[in-house]
Amino acid sequence: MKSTDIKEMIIPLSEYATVDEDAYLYEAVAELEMTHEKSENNLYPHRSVVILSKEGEVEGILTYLDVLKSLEPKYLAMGDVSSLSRFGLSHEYLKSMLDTHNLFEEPLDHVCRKASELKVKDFIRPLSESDFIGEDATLNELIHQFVVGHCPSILATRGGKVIGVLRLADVFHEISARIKSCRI
Amino acid sequence: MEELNKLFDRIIKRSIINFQKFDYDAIASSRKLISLKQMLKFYGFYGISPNHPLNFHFQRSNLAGSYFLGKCRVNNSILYKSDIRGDELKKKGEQFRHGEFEIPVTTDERIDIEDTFLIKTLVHNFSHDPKTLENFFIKDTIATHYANIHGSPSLGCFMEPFSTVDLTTVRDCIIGRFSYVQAGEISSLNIKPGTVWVRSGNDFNFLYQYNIDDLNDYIYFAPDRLPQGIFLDFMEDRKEAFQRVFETVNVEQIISIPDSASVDRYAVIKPKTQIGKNVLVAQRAFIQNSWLGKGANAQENCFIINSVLEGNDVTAHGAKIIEAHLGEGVFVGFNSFLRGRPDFRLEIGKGCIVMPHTIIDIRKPLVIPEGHIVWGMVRNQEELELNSMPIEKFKEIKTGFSRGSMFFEGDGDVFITAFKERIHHILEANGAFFEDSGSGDDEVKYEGHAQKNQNLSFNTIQPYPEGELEGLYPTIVINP
Repeated sequence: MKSTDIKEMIIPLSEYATVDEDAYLYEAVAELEMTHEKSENNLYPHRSVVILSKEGEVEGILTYLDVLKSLEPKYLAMGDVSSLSRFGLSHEYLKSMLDTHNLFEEPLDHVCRKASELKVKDFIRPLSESDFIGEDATLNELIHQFVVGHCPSILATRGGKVIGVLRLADVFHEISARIKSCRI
Repeated sequence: MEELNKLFDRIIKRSIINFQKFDYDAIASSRKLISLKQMLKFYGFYGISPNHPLNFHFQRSNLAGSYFLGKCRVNNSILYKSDIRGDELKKKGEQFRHGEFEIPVTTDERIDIEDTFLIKTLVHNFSHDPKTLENFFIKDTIATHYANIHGSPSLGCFMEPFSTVDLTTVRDCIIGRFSYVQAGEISSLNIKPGTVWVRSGNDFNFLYQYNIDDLNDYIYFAPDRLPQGIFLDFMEDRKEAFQRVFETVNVEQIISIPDSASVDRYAVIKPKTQIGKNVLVAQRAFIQNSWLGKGANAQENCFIINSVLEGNDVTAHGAKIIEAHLGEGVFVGFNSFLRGRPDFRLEIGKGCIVMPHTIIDIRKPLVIPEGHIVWGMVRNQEELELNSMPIEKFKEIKTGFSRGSMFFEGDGDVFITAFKERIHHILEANGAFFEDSGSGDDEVKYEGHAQKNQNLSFNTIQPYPEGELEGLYPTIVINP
């Protein structure tokens, strides 16, 4: 594939949904909704919120999945549940955990009300090296990082500082445009 | 040291090919682990005994401080203070059982190490893969501090500190620090740190995952950094005692050892230790002020300090037992770390199973009642209740169970039976039942390592002292 730089795909941090690490979950959700409204012409709305420290440094990324997991605190005690199927535990067994762990036993409205009082810093996952990519990286490198990292967004850096967010959706949009332009 | 440098470079580069898909920086994770100058300081050595095959072939390798027993080939590899213990390899003429089949073994099995870098790693047992019946291979693999490769042919693997692969063929995998895998055959997996995974086909599947923040206090490992944490500090504090036994030609025996017991001359035995009949203490084990009752064993890299083991207790490779009292027949799995305190002792009742890679680290007295199975992190009564269960209750599990970070699918009875059978086999292989033959005649029965390993002789081998080949051992072939 032709190697292309990724700078044009970077959404500057100032235009992305961000909240302070002390923010409550409802503030993060509200911020996300506000950016959806602001960018209603955007084909792919933001699907995550960047969490910033008091010093303005990026502390983590809150995804849709993180929000859903936060609704049931028992998931926290179970560790990395997303990897369970890789160890050969059957679908039937994973389904049964809903009952064996009494997950979501309270009415969902009640659960949601409680979850909105949680602070985002309590359930964001720590960032790893694969969450960052230099702004000078090629599109090939970015695609590879999405593939191996299984994450919906990657933080773009310049001189070690985070300057914006690269989204899987935008990479897909670029690639699908190229596919359509190809003559069969 | 030019050639040794080239060899190191070659091993690392070959191994990288296998980890590229994981975005794992094997170079940064390997280069600072051991200074190559250390490779010049220590001699390699091998055991000679009429009870084991004697067949070694070392070529273009460094074997600093490493020990060999049985039948082994090492080529283009660096083995630092590792134990390659071939006293359980399959022998010509034996039958290897795989499912319903019995397959004849046509030649003595050999441990075959190639393009590999092992640091303080234990290699033991025999290949459990019927596809590699006579060849227990370890190729293109990097295993770091206190890893265990137990009956597990390995190709293209990176094993982080204190990780174990047990009875599993492993291809193109990363095994995270303090992870234990016994799953038959795995490939292209990146096992996260602190994963304890025991799977046997469709019979059972046990999975526990440590909280990474909790685990980091005990063992932390990152690229370009040496491993650190409580485990390493604990080992470092006792390093000097081992230097003495390795530097001394004739180690003075300070305690009385029964005729049917075996204490390796490369083990450290500190004062006030008592060794019972049929006890096995392997090399690099450390025993201090402890009582090992009849048939108990302490395998490689085990530490037993200020503790009592009543008898027939198994302390598997790398396990540590400190300020504890173990009832009879307690199994402590690989690399487990059990630490009571002088004023807050840990008591483990008769017949308990402490799963491999369990951490019990208490600051108040704790009693684990007899007949319990324990796993994961236990630092207090609350965590004990979360991470343990009466064995009889576990056996009642028919389809599945989960609690906290432990997930079990399958038949609990089959799981426990498999464990019990293996514990019995370990005791038998180690000679714990030597006196229990009950034959009433002079026929020797149930001889195991405790009896067979008593009269080992040791020879040392050394590398080129200087020049281009400095640090490399000459090609050495040793036969009976």
